[in-house]
Amino acid sequence: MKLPKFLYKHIDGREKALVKKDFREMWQNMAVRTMLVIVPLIFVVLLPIFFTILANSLPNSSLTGMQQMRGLISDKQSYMNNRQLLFYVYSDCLGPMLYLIVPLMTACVTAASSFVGEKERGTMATLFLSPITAREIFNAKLIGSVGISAVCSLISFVTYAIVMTIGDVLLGVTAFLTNPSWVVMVLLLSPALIIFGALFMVLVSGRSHSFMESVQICGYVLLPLILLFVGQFTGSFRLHAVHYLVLSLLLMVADFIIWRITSAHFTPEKLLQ
Amino acid sequence: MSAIITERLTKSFDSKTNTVDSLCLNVPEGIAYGLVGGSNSGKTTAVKLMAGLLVPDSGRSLIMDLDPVKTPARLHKLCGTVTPSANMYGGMTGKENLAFFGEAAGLKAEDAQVRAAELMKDLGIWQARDLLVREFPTGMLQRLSIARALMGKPRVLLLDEPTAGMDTEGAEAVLAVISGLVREEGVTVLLCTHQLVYAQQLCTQFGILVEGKLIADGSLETLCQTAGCRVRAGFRLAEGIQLPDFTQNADGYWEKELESDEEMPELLRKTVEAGYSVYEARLSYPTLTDAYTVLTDREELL
Repeated sequence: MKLPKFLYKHIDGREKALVKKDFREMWQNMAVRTMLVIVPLIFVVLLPIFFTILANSLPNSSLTGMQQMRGLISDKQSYMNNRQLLFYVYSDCLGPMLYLIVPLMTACVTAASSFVGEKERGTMATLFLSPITAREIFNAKLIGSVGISAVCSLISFVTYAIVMTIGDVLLGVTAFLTNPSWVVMVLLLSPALIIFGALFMVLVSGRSHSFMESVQICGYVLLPLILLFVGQFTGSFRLHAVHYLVLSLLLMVADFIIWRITSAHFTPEKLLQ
Repeated sequence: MSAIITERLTKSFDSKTNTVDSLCLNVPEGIAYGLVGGSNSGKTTAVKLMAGLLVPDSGRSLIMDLDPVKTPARLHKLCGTVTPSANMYGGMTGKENLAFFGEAAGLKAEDAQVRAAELMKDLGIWQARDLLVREFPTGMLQRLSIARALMGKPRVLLLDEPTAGMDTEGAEAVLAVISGLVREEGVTVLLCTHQLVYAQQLCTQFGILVEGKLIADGSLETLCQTAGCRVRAGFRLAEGIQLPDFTQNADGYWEKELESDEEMPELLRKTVEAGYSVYEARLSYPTLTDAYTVLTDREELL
């Protein structure tokens, strides 16, 4: 299977070979393959479809909890009936969180396979014995896992956009298409999260001994993301495009710092302990 | 020119004992050097230090004047390393593995394929080219690892127990290939092994490593002289006949140490003249195993 050209436009033949090999190994690994397919399928296809169906089948009569839910929307959306309200709240509060799980999880899983998996199989030492520097190995592996996660996230977004637009049409609202936060999320937050997830895996790869162990550690990275959106859902605060922008910039700064730390510590002695 | 130099190379993992302790080696270019020792003698650590997988606590090593800590990638272009901790990709075939490591060594994809095929044929594993590496038997896997180390046409080979787990036939085949590389292509080989017979078969210079320290080094002759091992004359006589000043070996031969093999004709003549019927006569030269046993006083290795 060939990778898109943009993934190895700026890398040399040796790094290209490494990226290709990593991609192949990831695809051969049932756990990675399943996660790359199942996670997006659940979070950007099945759950949105489920909520669309749920919203469509909701009675328009007064329901317990709907009044509290109305507290989550602005006056502009006060015209909405119960069905539209449920779909709008999902689209605005829960949907972004579920979508953002995709770049984070795929980055963690691919980086775990690439970095920890290599160590687990005892092939990291062999790579370090090749005429390729530790920095080149690090970069090639990072480019590979970030690239695959980016492709996966982009496909997920397009799929999600299609599903949610159908929902918008079916329920007669403009919940998804008019939300400017998505532009920031797709162009800035999602890439920053992908790099964060991949670098976090590199950071823990020195201590992790198996692919599955490192995937379990992914849970810790997901926790702040979940809390951020649970807070929104309970009405404690609301995130808008500008908040996502600030979050993205903060995450990029964190990415840069972690990148400096991890690349400096990516040495045979530290990795092969 | 020296191909491998180590200067007081030292490494400790627990800050109490040195796994490699002030190791000084000087291996000339184009020879096979056997670094022999038992378990936990520091052989693997020494190879890892020379290959740049570990950083020494003190001292340094140079391979073709390149420092593995400062310029590992340049060093690995000239030096292939086989160590038990360096595995191949189990989900890829043997040929795919070699082609990948060829590309990682900077070869073009087509050249890597050609080189992989060439090496697999030379090492007698061509028939297994399409077999997944996880299905390779131990002997073939070792040969594949050697092929991997040879992909970039190195001038130095660091081999850590390359014949471990192999049957005699497989080990002999691997040694023949390595021997050919030394003889025909002038490759310098550092063979780390506990299998003294194979080391003697391949190498011309040796170092004996005990608890990380090099206790003796030199040619087999030098080691034997240091250990006081001499050539032995052996005679097979009729059953029940005893030879004074000789000791009887387990195989029935009566043996005696000589200063040199030149004493043999005279000794044989005298024995016959003394009235003994000598059915067979032989000279047994001291082996690396003999010298090692004396020098280390460790027979458990053998």
